[in-house]
Amino acid sequence: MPTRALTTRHAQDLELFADRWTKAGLVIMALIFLAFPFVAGNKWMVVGLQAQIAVVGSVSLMILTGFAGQISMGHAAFIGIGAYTTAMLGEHHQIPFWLALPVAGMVAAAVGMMIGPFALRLRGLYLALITVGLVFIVKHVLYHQVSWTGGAKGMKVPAYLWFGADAPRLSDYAVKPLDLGVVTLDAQQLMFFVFLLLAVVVVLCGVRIARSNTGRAMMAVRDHDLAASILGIHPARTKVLAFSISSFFAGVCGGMLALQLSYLMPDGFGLPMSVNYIAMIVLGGIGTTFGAVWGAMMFVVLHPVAEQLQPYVPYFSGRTDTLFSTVLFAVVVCIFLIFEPLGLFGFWLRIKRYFLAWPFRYG
Amino acid sequence: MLTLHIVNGLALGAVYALVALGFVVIYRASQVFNFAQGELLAFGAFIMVALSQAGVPWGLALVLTMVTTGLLGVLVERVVLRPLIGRPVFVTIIVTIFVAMIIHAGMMVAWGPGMKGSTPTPWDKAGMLTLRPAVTEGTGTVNINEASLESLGELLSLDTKSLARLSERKDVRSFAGETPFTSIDDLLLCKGPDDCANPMAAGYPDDPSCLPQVCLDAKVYDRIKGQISLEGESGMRVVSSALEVPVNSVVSILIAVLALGLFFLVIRFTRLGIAMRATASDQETSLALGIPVGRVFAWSWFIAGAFAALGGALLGLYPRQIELNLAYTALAAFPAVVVGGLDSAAGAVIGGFLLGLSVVLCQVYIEPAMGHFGKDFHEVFPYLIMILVLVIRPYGLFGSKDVERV
Repeated sequence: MPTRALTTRHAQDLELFADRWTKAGLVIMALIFLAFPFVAGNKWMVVGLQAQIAVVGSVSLMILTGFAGQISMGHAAFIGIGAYTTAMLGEHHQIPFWLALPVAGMVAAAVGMMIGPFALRLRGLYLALITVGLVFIVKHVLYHQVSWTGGAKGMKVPAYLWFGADAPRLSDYAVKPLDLGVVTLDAQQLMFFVFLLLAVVVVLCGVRIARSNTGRAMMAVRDHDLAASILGIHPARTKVLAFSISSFFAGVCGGMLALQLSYLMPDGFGLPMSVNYIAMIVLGGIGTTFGAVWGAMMFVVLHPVAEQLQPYVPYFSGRTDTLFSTVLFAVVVCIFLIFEPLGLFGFWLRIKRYFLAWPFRYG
Repeated sequence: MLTLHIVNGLALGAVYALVALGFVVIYRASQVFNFAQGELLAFGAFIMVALSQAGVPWGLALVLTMVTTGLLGVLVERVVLRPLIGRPVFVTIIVTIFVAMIIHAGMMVAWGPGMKGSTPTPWDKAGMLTLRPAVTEGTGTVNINEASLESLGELLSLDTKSLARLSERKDVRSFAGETPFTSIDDLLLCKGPDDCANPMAAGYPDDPSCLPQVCLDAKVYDRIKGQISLEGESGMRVVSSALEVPVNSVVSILIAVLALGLFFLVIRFTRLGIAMRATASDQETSLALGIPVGRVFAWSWFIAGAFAALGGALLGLYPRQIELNLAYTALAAFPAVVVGGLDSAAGAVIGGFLLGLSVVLCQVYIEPAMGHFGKDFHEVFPYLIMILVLVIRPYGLFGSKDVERV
């Protein structure tokens, strides 16, 4: 059954956030997010930053896989490219971070445009394996092109605020917090707000793309690209566009990740990261921005929760590594996939329908 | 040396072929991409080592490993994949990836990161099979003065004519007290100064390293070395090395070929094989004809698991060691599947052998040429080959084109 209010005018259809419940929910979430940095301890601040990074990453993957239907295991490659570009721009050229992030996005988008043509000839698993190959190639370059990337030892990511080697950095505010009169913000809180802005912009972009002509073209290509081409949509152009947009946001996500970590090692940008992002969007519900956002949040929150639970689980209680959280996440994803194909979005729909139809079982 | 590398490459390729074949069997029967093949391989390797550490004889351990891993595959199919029938392909990819993670975690918990060693063999694990024995020669720069030249001639039983030739050679020079000994002549091993195995280098007088190698028969060298003062590098020099290949590689290839042959016989001549081919061709019609499609799925996972376990047992042979990340070594089998064509079993086998060969040859020939950038390049190389093949033939070498209807 439909869960939105009945729309009677075209203008209502066009609105992004249609009914008052959605608006109320958004206001509450905004209040929570704005208050979060001031009440959270250090560990949960890190979780919050990771959540925002994951949201940007998963929205970008959603555009590629959920809207355009291109299976891509290469997300880690684009994130890695974005992260290292930001690091290199900051470290080698002292470019401020607010310029480095879009440039990182554009570099990643350029690489994404190169993958686009592969998507034209190849479908399904063939494309997925090409993207796996991309991950390995990028990881190889990150490890071995030491003059650019520092190799296995890693490289620092300074977050300059303005051009020049003497410019102030974001990390300066950790020592001397920024005094805005009403509140004082230290480096982490500043970063939180910057990331919040970026995450909100990216999510809005995702929602708008889904509703635009481009998004509809992508969904047509996802469903049946031969039929879409008969209808006048260029599958080639749409696929390349999907890859480019997705890689741009993935590059930005990588830049955010670099700024948060502040010291990059090439280790993390491999297949497990790609798989995590795919799991996020599948968990959230493929094809919806809601799903991308909540899948990402669930993933990021699951790990500290697993850490708290670990002492109580028989085989894992003695271990010090993150194995339990990986297993827990894997089990949760499998259960969701088996029982709830639409993921968290489907779960949310069920809840909404239950309350809409209450006290009847179905309406 | 090339033969050695080819044999090693084919041995690695045998493992890839087994894994790739299992992948294709599952894909053809049920359109599921089983990313957990690598973990099944690792599981098989560990079970093999565990069983033989418990004292089980080798052949029985191998069979038990294959059966156990096959049963694990059937378990995965029943529990995780049976509810997902009819769902889009993407979902099955994700699920198998996470099942692989769960298996990996299970292995970590059960055996811990400390498990080491190679899978056992009933033959000497480091043995080498000699295809052609070595030809050795003695070499060395031998210092003799003129007075000893005659005694050298005597020692070597050179006749006067040969001795005259020896002393006439422009390259035998004498210094005060030292004669750098250059090449000895055709009497001994080389056929003639022109086709001596080691042509003389020009400009050698100033650079002792330019001294050409001496072609001396080993027995002759043994005889004279105590009696003439030798200087510089002396000792045996192997002119042509023995052609030796590791027994493990040869056995890997043989066992894999045997298993693959058995598989193809089963597919062609048994009822199960016909059922699998029918299911691969059209599931609904097979179901209508009374073929137990569910059981065929279970059998295809069993075969894939068993072959992966066999591959694991072979991959773990000396000098490789089993380790928890063995699945990553097997990750190169996926490009093999794609290169051969997703729905072609023969293609998977050929692709597997081809890729194993290319990985080893890359390690030997291409990596050193790339300098620092080339380290571990052999991990990336299969994917580059895959991309190349896909650009030329988008469905792999033997895959069939997807016919789409609108």
